[in-house]
Amino acid sequence: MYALDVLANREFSYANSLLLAVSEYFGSATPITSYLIVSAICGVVIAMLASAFQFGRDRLSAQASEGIARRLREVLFDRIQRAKATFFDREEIGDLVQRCTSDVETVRRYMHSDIDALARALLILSVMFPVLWWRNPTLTLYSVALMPVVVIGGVIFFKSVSRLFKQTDEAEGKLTAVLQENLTGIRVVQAFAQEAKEYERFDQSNSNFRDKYIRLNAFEAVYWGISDFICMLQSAIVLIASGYLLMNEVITIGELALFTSLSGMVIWRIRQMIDVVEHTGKTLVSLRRINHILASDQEPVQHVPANEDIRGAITFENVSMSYDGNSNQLEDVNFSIEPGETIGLVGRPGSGKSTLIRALMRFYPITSGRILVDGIDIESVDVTWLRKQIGCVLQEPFLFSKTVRENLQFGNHSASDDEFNTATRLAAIHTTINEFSAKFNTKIGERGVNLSGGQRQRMALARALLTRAPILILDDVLSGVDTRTESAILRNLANPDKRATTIIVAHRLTTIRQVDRIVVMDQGKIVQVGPHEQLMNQPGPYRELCDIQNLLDETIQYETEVASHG
Amino acid sequence: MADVYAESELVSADEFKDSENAKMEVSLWKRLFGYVLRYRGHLLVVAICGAVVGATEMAYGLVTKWLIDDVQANGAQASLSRWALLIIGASAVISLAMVGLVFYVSKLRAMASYDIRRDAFQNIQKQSFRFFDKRPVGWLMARLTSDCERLTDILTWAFIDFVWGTAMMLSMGVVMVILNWKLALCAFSILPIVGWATIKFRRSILKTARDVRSTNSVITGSFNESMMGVLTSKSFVQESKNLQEFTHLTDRMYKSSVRNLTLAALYIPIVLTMASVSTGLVLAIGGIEFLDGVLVAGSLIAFLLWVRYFFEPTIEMAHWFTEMQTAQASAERILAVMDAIPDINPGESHGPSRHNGVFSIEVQEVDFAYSDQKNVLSGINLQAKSGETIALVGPTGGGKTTLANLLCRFYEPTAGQILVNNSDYREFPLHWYRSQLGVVLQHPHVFSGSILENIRYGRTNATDREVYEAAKLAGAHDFVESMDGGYQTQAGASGSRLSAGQKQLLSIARAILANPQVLVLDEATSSVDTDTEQHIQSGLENLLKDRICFVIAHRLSTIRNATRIAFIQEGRIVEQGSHRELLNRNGQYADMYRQQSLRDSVSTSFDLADKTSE
Repeated sequence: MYALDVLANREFSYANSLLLAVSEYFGSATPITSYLIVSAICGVVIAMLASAFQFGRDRLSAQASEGIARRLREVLFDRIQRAKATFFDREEIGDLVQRCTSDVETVRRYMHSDIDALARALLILSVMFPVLWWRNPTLTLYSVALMPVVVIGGVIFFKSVSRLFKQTDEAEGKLTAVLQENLTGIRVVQAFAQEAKEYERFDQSNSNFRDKYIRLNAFEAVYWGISDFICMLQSAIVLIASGYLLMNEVITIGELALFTSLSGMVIWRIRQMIDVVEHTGKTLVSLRRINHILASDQEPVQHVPANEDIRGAITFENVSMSYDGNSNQLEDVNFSIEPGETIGLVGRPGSGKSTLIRALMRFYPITSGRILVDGIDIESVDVTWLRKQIGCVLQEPFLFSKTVRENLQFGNHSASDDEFNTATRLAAIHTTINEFSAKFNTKIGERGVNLSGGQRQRMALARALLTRAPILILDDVLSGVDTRTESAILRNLANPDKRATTIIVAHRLTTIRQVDRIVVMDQGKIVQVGPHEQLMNQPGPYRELCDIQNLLDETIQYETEVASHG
Repeated sequence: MADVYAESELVSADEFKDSENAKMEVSLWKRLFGYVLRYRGHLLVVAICGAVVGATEMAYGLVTKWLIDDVQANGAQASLSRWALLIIGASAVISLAMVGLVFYVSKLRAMASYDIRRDAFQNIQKQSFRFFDKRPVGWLMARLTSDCERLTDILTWAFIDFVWGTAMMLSMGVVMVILNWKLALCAFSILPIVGWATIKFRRSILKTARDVRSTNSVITGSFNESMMGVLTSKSFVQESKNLQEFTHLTDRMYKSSVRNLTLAALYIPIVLTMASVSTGLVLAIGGIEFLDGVLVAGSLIAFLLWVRYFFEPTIEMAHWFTEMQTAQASAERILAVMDAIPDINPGESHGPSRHNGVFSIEVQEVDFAYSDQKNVLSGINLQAKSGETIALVGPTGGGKTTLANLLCRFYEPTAGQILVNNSDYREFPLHWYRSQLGVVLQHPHVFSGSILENIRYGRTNATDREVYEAAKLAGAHDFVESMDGGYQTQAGASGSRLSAGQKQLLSIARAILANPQVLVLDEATSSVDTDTEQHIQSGLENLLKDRICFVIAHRLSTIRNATRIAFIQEGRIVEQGSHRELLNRNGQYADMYRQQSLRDSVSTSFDLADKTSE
């Protein structure tokens, strides 16, 4: 089918001149008038056939190219999600997005038109060339005399255009990254009235992209001009040569028409192949950029332990960790958590609390030591298994722009309405959700902007509770929650049917004092461990915190007394 | 299957209604072409190049005809070299003109795309928070990137092709009519059918194109969200589920794209067939005339060539026409961004110097509602003068942050007014007012770039020393110094390397550096330990002497020293007064206050009750 299509398609005009030529050639022998009409009808029929085939081809190539694009997008999405968390530290999200959209589009366009053009060109060349040769070898040689020049030029051009396109594509990536950052941080931009500076930054990458684009196209324009000229020259050679042969009555006018039109086809097909070569250069650049994501370090698929019934014991054995390989963010952490125990992590910003949790979640690899969950080294098992054992509320929880229900379902897709209700009640967000106009089906804006900070945190908490995982991590979950709600939540958590091992990062002593044991961290090390009562009576950083609180307590007591007496 | 439906419904419902103005396409294109038309010089060059290409291409056909005629008529006496020179000359001219054409059109395209993007970006910067609440980052990104590229491609190339094609068709038509009007009429006879098909296809192509573009932006949004929320997805092991949802989108993209391309694939062959019918007519009738001796062979060949030249632009234009529909979908989306009217009027960009600074803020009977929802705030009254610190406290979701956002003019009250220096703050230029503010938002945002740059964001002309001072006041200096790169440490994309507490400290430093008249701290120290927090408190004390400060916090140690405390519950201020006054009132605030005690507050109050009864 394809071959037929290629033969018939678009070349109807050539076919017509061919018919004309043929009719001239045999003309004198046949009743010419009727022959002309027949050939006209033939022309139309061929064109209709061509149209039908063209439609088939376009549809098929649409399906093929869109199918490839779809597959590419899906694979990219999958790879992004399964890339190691460290991958994103080095990347600009906007740039990655550009690779997933613009570069995929470049590939799609190539698949849509260039593969087809290449195949068509090759087929036409392989059919037309023998025909020409058969008609007149000398003239055929004339008609491709300049083609080697075009081909060699094309090869040289291929390299330069790839280089220029790479620069353009990267400039576009940078532009997207600047845009993404601006839009993500737009609230800060406006808060500090920095629109002018942001504009400057954007304008820089915007104009850089523009200039790179113009440079690329200037180069292309010159190249196209030259190759067009050579091709036209080639056509001229054919015309003059055949004119000369006609003059000397070596060929007939019909043969001249045949030759000029057929060699024209050959020449412009070769020219078209050069375009394809150019597009190939661009597409390779895009593919390389896409491949950067595809080749990103993926989280390994590892052995999944059969033991489903995890009790939630956690042990840190000489754990050290560093983000950049220089200074340690965690240093020689040794510590065990009993199943069902609640641990409070305290310390200054940067003391390593969040890092410890990132290590436990295996977002970042530890540099030495081991972390064991129920005696299983977490590096020896599949990350998904590990994470399924942990219900986690991260610092700055991310909610997706979906409905409340869909967000909660992250925790457990098969959760019943009862379970939703229980979890949201435990997290003290149930009433709030029911006040929304569409209740559980209310859509949350991107990053949950329509919710207050405290509401977002509690939503994330409910999501984590729904997992019913044996380990619960609450990294700074209640910071945006008022004290009353906070103590209600803590009471709820202390008392579910099955108690999970819980790690709470918190700053308010009202939260911390309720845990079984407190771990005080400083500069990546554990400096104190013990229950509130014990640490309160030991000299050390915890007591200093308590002193501040004690002072407050005394004031509260004093002031309350004064108030009630007054 | 139900899931798929829900997803698609979601997409169409959320893609805000930019397809509504579909009917105003003439004005739409007029405006967008304005972006091309402003480069008149370039356009002129393009027009000249285009005319030269068109003319020489026609000449090329004529020369071919003359050559054949000459050879036929004169046999061996024909002057081939003259024709050869003419053809080579024409080729050179065409090639040169082509270079000019391609170069200038590309340049035009790049400039137009740059301009459109710039204007859209500038308008986005002017939008209020409301705008961003509803529109995910990825969707806006798609508009400024892929939609913009697609649009300008059409704007320039289609425009040029259109002009060139029309010129070609007209001139070819004229030549054909002059040469042989009968044959010309044959060639033209199918034009009405082409026109009819065009109108028929327009609607459906546009419809599918819109679908493609809107799905494209949702996909862009999904990619963006998948990366922003990657840790969340990982911690809930949602990778497969997310992918499954994403495939609904790619499926939708696939289907609507294929539908769109199929329609185009159907339309173009129709035009093509029509063209061949006309060629056929010319061939048949011209052939008969040729046999009758009316027409010479050269004329017939040339005529056939012209029919081809006549229809080539037609087919080309038909092709661009389908693209045009796609572009219109993009155009609508970009214009929706460019035309979005900020619901906060920024006023003159740089206010006159008569505003010396903010010395008082008064909130009068303010109501506020996010779009078509019930009031989030109602009847708020609040006053603050220089040197005063106002604390906003209360349960979460009560409206504290909303009030802070109103004070910063991120939103404006739906009823009532906020007076700054005794006049409505809407009368001041927005830029001026904002530059009086130092704000720490609830979600501290850290940009990629160094920590130094991030703090300096508060005041771009601050010296390094000033940055360090601000960092010290904010309690950030120590942890920054302890990092490997110190202040030059890269924060990573969206500050991924930093903990929430660290981001808060940087944000506070940023706000301090801005040296503001009004400081708004929305839970600025919630992720910071009490010790560090106390440190910041004492640092700020000095700074706040003659400034206005609004503080939202849950830790009462932060609040106690405020000049006035407003207890906000369910959108209303239920109690207001100094710490002492509110304690004496023994209401909500006093309740909350007692809960902060480490000692059992209930027993304390019982003790107190006992004592008082004694």
